[in-house]
Amino acid sequence: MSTPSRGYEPERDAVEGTDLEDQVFSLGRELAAERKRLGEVEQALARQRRIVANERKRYEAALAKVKPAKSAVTPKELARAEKRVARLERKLASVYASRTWRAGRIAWHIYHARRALSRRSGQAAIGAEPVNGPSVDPAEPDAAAQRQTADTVDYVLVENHIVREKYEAALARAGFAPTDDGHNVAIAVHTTDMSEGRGDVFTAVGLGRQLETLGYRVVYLPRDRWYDVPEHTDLYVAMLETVDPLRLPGRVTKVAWIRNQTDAWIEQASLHVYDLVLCSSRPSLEAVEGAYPGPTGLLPLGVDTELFARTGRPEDRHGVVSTVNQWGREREVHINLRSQVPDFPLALFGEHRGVAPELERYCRGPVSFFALPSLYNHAAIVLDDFNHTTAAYGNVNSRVFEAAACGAVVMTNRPTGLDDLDLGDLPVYWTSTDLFGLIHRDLGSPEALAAAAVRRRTVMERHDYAVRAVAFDGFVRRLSESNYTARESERAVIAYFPDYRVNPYLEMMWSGLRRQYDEPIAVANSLDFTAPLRSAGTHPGVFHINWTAPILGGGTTAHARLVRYRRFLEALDQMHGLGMGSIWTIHNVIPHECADPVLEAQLRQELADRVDLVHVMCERTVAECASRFEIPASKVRVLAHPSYIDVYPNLVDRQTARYELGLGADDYVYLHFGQIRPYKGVDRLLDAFDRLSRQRPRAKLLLVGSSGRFESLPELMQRARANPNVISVFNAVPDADVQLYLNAADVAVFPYLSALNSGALQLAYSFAKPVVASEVGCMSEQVDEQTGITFRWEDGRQSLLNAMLAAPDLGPEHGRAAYDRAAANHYLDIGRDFNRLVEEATEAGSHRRLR
Amino acid sequence: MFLTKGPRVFAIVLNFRHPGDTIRCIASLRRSAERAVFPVVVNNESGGDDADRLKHALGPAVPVLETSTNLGYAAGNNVGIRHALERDADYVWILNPDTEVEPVTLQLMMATMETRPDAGTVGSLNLVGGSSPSVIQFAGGHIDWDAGAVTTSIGQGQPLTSRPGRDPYEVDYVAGTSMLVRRGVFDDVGLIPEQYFLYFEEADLQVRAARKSWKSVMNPLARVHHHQRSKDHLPTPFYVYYYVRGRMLFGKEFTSLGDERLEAGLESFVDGWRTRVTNRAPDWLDTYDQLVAWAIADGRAGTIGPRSDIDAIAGPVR
Repeated sequence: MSTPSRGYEPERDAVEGTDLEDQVFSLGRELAAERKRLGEVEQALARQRRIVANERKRYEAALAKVKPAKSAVTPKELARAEKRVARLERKLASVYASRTWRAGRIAWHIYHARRALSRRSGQAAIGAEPVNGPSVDPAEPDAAAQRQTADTVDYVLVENHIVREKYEAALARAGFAPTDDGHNVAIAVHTTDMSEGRGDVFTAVGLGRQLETLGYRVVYLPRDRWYDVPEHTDLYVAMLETVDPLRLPGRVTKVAWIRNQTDAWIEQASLHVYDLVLCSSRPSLEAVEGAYPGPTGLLPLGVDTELFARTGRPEDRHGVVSTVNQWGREREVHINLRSQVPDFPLALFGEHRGVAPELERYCRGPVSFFALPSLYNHAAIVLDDFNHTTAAYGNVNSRVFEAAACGAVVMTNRPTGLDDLDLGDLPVYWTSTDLFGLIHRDLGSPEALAAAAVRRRTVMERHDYAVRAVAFDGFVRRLSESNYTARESERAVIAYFPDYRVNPYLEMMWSGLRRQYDEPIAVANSLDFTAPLRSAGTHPGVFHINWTAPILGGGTTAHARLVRYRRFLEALDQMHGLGMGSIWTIHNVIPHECADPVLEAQLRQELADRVDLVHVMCERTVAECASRFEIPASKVRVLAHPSYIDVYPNLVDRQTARYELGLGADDYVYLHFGQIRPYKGVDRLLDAFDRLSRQRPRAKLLLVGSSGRFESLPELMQRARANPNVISVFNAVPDADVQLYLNAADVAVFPYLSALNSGALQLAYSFAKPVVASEVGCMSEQVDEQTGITFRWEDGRQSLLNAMLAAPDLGPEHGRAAYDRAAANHYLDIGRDFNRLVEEATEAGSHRRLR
Repeated sequence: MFLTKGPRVFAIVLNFRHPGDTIRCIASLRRSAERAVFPVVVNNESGGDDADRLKHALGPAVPVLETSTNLGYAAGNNVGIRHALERDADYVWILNPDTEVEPVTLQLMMATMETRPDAGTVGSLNLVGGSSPSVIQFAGGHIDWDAGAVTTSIGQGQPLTSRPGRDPYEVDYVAGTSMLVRRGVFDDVGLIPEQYFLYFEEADLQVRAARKSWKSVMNPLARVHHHQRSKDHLPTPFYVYYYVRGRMLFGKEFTSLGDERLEAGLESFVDGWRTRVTNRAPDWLDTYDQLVAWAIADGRAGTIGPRSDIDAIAGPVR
């Protein structure tokens, strides 16, 4: 059976020739089937290896926990695991051997059958005579012609300077002009120095040049500038698994292009931070899809056909070349080549660190990427080699496309992934016998060259980077059109500072968030932002800042405070950069006990300027804060302090409560409830009450709350205890007992010297208590004649006493009005409103990410 | 998420036309030693001044939730349960309004909840209100599936001294008169089933919960005094119709027994009451028979929800 499509029509003895061709054809099919099976076996064994490796990792991790001090001693279990790996590796080797032996035998048959055919048809023997390659370019050759022996060959290598200059120009680009088309692409590569011999830069520029023809603008970032992402970058393409996407700005769409190292990529904890993961082979894609929930795509490597094209004549091709680099680990192609003595012209280009002595004489050193086309146009056979990270996943090398685009016969060491590229007929070697057999078969074979010509067309049509650029553009478009649904379906995260969850306030505010949000992440006072930063990279969400006092308060020296100041703002910027929104709830103008009010005010100004939304609890807040820092009006959202209805139980009635606290039914009971701190004016309250209780012996004062540490506290406690009408509890009260004090009281007193908001006021309202309150902060808005009596410290200290004396005039209607105010600010309603704020801030963060 | 430390118990009292009962029940609850309790009253069938009376008597601390119509036991209580779950309830205590609890009742029931994490529902020993010496009204429920899903109340009518020991014990169901339900039960099987309208809903809930491995446990030391309104030992039309129909529906739901078997299982109930009606209110016998016939027909047909014409039927008069 002839193969006219390949232009091969030998003269032959019709009958015998036909028989032999039939034999060759059927053997070829058998060989192809064997190759496929071998591929499957290899993939299965790669999986086994991964399982063993994972088991070993798990075991080592467990061992490290159990016996950290004895890590130097090799444990039996580790030895067993290693034995198991060794056993599996031996098994792998034996399988290779047995299968390969069969494949080799088949190849041997094919080879001899073809030799018989060739002899009959009177053609020249396989294997071209070595000749010096003709100069295809008048430019000065890269490597001088060398003396040639029977089994070595030299090539005159000529660089394509025109294309080189284009690559250099592409790599020199540093930034972008502002645009809104979303077409600014930064590609992270190992190096932009093309002389370093790293392949990723050529791959990147190959694709990038074609992206530019589609309207993209591309810059290339070497490893020392990976995180120095140019302004206006829209897309960031990481080509190496060592890029940490968590360090990239949130606004940038992050694309991983997995070309090799699939296992390392999958093991990368932050893989899911990428918005899109592209893989160069289907097995890689399948493996990634098991580990990454987001959108994926198949984007194999390709070829720059402006550089790699057929320029020579078939008859000028000679010898076997390899451009496989060996950076230390011996490559399979080299193992196979040294296993026998090559009886064909051979030249090895590239880095050959630690190459076997048998091969040293063939080594020709590195060759410029831009000289490769001249090499591939003059070599008859180009040897390719999947390395240990690409073999199991079939990540077909650029070399295959490049050499094939130049019309060379390419041989590689694995069939995996080739079928997907329509290159399933590429000659594949597993062993030295295979390799030598294939070389003997194809070297100088017109049939092989004809097959290579067909593959060349396939490569030019399907694997040009122009095709890859269109595919890339399609993936990116789909990503923007779908708006990354995988991300949207994820639950969002809320991080918060400080870690004050003992205060039910935070739970009340977040009560509306439960469905969409994960368990909130606390930022401890140590200012360790690791957890929220990690979440910021993976989830939409919001950083909720509340009391700022612990930021500077955690530093005991001016320097320590400054360090904490900077650390907090930097972390906030990082979270913003990763697409997180932020809300700052202002609880006070300046923390009541503050070591460095100037720096605190500066910090608050920075926060107000940076955060997305500023949540205040009354309209007055902006004006109250204006003397210390300015809050941008557009960021202000007013949501009242939630009340405590349904938060603290309210079962015990007044009578029972008074009985339990030793209060009489006829006593008139004033209550000061909440933490005792200097700004709350408790000393003035005691002054007033001492005078009041002299006039009204049935007046009682309940002074209840834990006490902060301040100088005058002991004196305060002593004074409280000195008056028999004062019942003081200088401790935190159990939640279930809060009702005792509130329900026993007739009126709650708030003699605050300064304050912005008061949770205690909401607590009093929640228990339907009328109040006596100084006109400070939001209390001026929240207390009026319907709910109690207000007074001004500016009117003198007597004003508190007067207000307290007037308190018995307050009736049940005041209590009812107070309760109605509390009911209007039920925590479930405020929580729902706060949820809207969180959504708004999340949206702001997402926009920042997209920007 | 948490709002306050420790378990949060919401006590749901379903008021229906007798606010005095409800106020008495809440008053007993206020004397509870366990204070982390949030009482909630659901006023089933608003109208009249019941709600105002309740609000005035109970003060703002006890929310009174109003329903526009009589939703029945299950749907009415579910209004309260939803309210509780939304407010982070860890436990919901369903209490009949015609009960009074002892100061330690809830504490003891909570102790059982804490020592028996598998307990989904904990019941109290219900005593006949005002009985002296105390007589047991309910000490646990037993279901005889083979006999036609026949439910029986353990210890009913026996003196308190005959109660089965001091240790908590498992039963098939605890009565809806006083049942403390763990939040996880509602999460697993939903709220109280509403198809019965009256009766069997608590048994249905607990049978479903049992299928999710939740146990129903009685604490015999925790007591609730049940002041039943019906003192003359004659059935109301509601009771006759909804009990008979409910048992048919309950049997159909959980057994593969045919209608005939289920009807046979009802014989002792129907005949027992019939004898009593014959002796004490013979004029009402035809009505009684009619109610039983409707209930069986509706039970066979699987009719659920309230039946409006029952409302109009007068009860027996001695």
